[in-house]
Amino acid sequence: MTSVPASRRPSRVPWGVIVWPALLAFCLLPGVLPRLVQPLTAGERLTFEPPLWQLTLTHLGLVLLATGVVLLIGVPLAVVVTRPGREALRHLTETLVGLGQTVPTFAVLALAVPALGFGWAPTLLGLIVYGLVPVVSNGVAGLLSVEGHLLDAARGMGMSPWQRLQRVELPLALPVLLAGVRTSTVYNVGTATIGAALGAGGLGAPIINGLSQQNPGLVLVGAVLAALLALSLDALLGLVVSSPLSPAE
Amino acid sequence: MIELQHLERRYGDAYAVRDLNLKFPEGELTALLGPSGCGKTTTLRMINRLTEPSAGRVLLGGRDTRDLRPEELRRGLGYVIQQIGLFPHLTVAQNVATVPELLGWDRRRTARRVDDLLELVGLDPAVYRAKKPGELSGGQAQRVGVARALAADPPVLLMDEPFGALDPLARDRLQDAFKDIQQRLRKTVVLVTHDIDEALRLGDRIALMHAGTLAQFGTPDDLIHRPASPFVRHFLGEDAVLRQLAGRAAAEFVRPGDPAGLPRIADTLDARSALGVMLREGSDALAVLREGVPLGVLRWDDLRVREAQARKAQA
Ligand SMILES: Nc1ncnc2c1ncn2[C@@H]1O[C@H](COP(=O)(O)OP(=O)(O)OP(=O)(O)O)[C@@H](O)[C@H]1O
Ligand SMILES: [Mg+2]
Repeated sequence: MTSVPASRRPSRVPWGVIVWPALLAFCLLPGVLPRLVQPLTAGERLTFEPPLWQLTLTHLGLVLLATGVVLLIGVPLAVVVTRPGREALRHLTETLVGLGQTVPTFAVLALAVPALGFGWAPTLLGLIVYGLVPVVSNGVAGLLSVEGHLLDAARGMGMSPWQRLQRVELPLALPVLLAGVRTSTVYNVGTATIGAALGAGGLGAPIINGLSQQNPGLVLVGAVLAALLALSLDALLGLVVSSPLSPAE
Repeated sequence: MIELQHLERRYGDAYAVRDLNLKFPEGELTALLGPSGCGKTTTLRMINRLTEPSAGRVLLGGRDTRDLRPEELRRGLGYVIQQIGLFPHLTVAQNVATVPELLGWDRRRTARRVDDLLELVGLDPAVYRAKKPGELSGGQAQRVGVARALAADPPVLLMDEPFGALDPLARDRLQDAFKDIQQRLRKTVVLVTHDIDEALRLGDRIALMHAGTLAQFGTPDDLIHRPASPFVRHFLGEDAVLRQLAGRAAAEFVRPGDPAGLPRIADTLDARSALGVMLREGSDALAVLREGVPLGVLRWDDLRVREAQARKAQA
């Protein structure tokens, strides 16, 4: 097979990486969104305290913190349960993680409040429980998809279990794992809006205020910003997934 | 070099390998031959401890392999498998460098070694070094597999049906290439195969297994002309001599003589095909030519009675 010269490769310019963050930044400029939603607010000019950019940063912080914890827990968990002879543990984990997804978000948060109080803690807990699902299931799927003969070859050449994991299994599982991280993070941008109900702040705040004040303009501000944030993260993480880090097929 | 003593492997109540005693001679290629399920792979994997024996032991250069850490043992034994097992996320060069890296060689030494090995197996380093396994044909990939197994210059090479997944043409070419390499390197090779032609063609010795035990160990001539049991004779088949001839060049049997008027063949033809020409042409001698120049004469008797003569000479 001859290799395709670089210039002839289909160039997939990831427009989203530029467009969505740019749009998000534009909407965060002082006064832009309030003016855009003015027709919905009966002519009233909305003001925000704290400002919208701060709400967005809080929101992003919540989501990224959750993703970080999810990675710290999820990846080792996926590794541990995919070692040979741990099939029972793997099934148990998959069941538990799946269960996490079927319990409504609101229930998790409501249950967490009595234990953890209001604020960031219960919100983070909810995000972590939800974020774990795609990371663990994709991590497990990725690790299990590594073909047996590759592991056999690695063992036959004298790699220790740790070297096999590090040099063969994780690199090969990486694309699938990263897809799970992307899903987890993007979904959590939406889930995190509920955090405002628990006093965690973020982009849920205008939405909840809008609901209680029957102000659709406010709801729209929160929804638009959350959507743009999700699209931006999705595009950026998509860049990582298709980077040269991931193996060629 | 490698010695198996009362080696045994049970799965439940069934024996995969039973009381196997065998010495693989140093610097020679031993074909571990036998029908499917007779325990060849199990035997091979007990040598590098990918499978642990249920009983008995494996000696490597006189040392019990159980005294070594498995990882250390395996880094000193080249290992080639039918599925090749190249790491798809690494380049050809990185694949070949696997064991040197595990052994902590420095970069320059490893890079030099990788290039040498790619040349040894007939792949231009400049072209193939940076390719990914997905860009290789089956034959090229297995060449890389062999290069990878040889990377740290292990004295022993363990091969499990290395050419089994290739199409006949690629297999022939790779067998030839490997024969050349082995002639140069003189490794102690254990080659698992169920292909009689391959065993006859590449094996200095053949260990024929049957239901987990050793049916016969000897040179190809031993097995063909002095089968130890009806099983051996039956397994090799009545055309074993022909198969053996197929693995040798006609030029090996050439003697000086007058080629005038004889049917002509090229010296690259294998001996079985030469025999076919004799039958077709109704001639008991052929003129053998190297690039059009007469080399000598190939006679029916030289193909026929070599072994019988040897036996007579012994008596
Ligand atoms: N992990 C295992 N568990 C149970 N039985 C096994 C296992 N591995 C091998 N066996 C059995 O041991 C016997 C020998 O197997 P082995 O793989 O060594 O055969 P083989 O000679 O290499 O055959 P083939 O030519 O088909 O590769 C077979 O009957 C096989 O079913
Ligand atoms: Mg086998």
